[in-house]
Amino acid sequence: MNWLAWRQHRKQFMVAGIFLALFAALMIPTGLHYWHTYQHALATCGNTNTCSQVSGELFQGNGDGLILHLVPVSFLFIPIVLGLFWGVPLLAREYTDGTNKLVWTQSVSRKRWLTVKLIWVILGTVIIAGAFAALMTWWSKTNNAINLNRFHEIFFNTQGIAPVAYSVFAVSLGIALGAWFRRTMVALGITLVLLIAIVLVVVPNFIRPHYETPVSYKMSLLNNSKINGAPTNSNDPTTNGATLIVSQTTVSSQNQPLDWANPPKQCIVTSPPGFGGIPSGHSKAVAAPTGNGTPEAIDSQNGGPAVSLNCLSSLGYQQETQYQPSYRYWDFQRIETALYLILAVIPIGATYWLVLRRDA
Amino acid sequence: MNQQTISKNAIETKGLGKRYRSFWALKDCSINVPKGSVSALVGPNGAGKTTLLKLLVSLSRASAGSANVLNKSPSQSPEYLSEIGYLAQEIPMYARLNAKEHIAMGLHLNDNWDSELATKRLNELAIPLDRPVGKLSGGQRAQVALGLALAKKPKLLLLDEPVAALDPLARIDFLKSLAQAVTDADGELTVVMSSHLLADLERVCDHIVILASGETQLCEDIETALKSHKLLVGVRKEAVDSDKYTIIQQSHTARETTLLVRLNDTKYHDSHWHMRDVDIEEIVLAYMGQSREQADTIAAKGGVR
Repeated sequence: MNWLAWRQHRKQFMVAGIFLALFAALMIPTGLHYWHTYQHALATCGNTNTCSQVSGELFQGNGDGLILHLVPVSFLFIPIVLGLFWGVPLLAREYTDGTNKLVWTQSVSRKRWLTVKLIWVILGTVIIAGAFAALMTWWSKTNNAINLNRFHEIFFNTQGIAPVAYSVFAVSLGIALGAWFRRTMVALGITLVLLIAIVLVVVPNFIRPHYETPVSYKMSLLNNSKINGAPTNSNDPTTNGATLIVSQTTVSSQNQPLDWANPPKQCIVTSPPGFGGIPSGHSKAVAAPTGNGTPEAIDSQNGGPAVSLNCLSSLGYQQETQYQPSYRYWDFQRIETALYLILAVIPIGATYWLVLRRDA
Repeated sequence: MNQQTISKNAIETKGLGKRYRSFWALKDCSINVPKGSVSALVGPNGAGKTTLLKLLVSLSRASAGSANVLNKSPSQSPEYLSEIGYLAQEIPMYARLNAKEHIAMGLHLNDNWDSELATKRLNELAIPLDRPVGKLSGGQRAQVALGLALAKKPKLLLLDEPVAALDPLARIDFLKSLAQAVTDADGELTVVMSSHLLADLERVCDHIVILASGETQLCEDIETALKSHKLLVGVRKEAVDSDKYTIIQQSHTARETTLLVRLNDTKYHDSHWHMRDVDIEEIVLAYMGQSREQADTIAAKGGVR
């Protein structure tokens, strides 16, 4: 059975190897270049006191900027591509070509046939996805050091160990849906939609932020860097990309969240002086000149009235940010890896059921 | 081993049935196929021929009844599968692999595999072993598939309409190969082959199973069937089954009545009827016609909507 599995699937493994080599040919030279440039800048900035500008100035050219964005974005789709091109056809093609009837009537039980096939394809997935993730992690060390944004979806999803687990899950899901529908095209469409929804939308946005209890950080409503002129606070998690922001709310001194549709009456600004009103749904605070010339921060959210932040601040309201600090990065990688590996058990179990229990 | 438990039949089914949702693809099928026979499995489209063969090779699970194949119940175990060669209707093979690789596959997937036999047979037929099977002609593909099924050295060979898609010459070649394999096996190989082409079946088969409307109609030796079925022609009258014979089909002209009957006593003679021998094709058509009449009658009574 090993012979047949290898003979049937060696080509796709080689194709993946070629893609890996192409990416490596682009990323190894650029990765070395970025790292050396960065090290050189760090070594020399001390002489001219420009170290604080290093991160802002390096790699801002068009070519570098394009590569630095396009490569990670394309890596986001590796698990999906593996799920579609390795997972779905694995059984769907056997069913559409009728070759399942050939192979299931040799002297090998379907269980063994399926087990060997799954081991080969999942092992191949781990090797290829692991190699891509390792390449990406190495290549990104300059970007990670400069921009401190490893928790950003594009970077979290493409580095470390989690991408391997995404790929294992994606391939398993593709296999199961291929076996369920027995037709490649239908299974491809549904697998694509499900993988985008799960891997790129639902887990990063709605599940990942809650793996651990977030840390809370409170600051003055007026000390918000989004208000023009307010100084950047290095403790402020919203300006520090190394963290994962869970939520941002305005809370009272008793930790009650502010109801923006129904704020304290005395803080409502009926007609902001010198300011032509705030667009409905505008969530950013805007500095507006008051009658006596001192700036006043005004905000309006959820379609509620315009509210003076100066007034809210004097009543004890503060801006609270719930976030996952950067030191939890590897915890989160491990948790997410475990999550996807456990999730992968569902389609694999379903595949066994479909192959062993259903008629050919 | 206890002699009594070993059946003389390669296949015995009792009330075997397969239901897809509310539709019975095969219903109440009870047949016995003797060991060493070459059986023709005939019947109209939808009679359940493919379903029956898939049940026997454990590609499907029965919904009713039981089957005993080579003294085992159908299962997905290697022990069960290793004794059965099966050729599915569409002759599925891995289009990108060549015949040599298919033979290698068989070697890896079977314990009792004869690569040499398969290679020799295909060489004799001048089939290119290193061309992907997807690029072979239909006749060549069928021969490769038959070679693979035989290389397993099966005790039972199940062929589902193997010649349906072949041109007449390829069909004759295929049947020749099959006949040769049966001769070589020296009574150790039982074959069940379904087909629409009655003349072809007559050439190689010695036993017949007629399925119609998903139920078995006839299962016996072709020689016996030819002896026990007669055409009776006489003055027009409405005939009914008697203890001497069962009417399979009756037809009337203005003055004459013609019956195709199954005699309960092959020595039966009646001066009222002019008796004539029938060939296997007439018998098969009579059984199929009977099942259609039954279906029509049921439909006319509103039994089936």
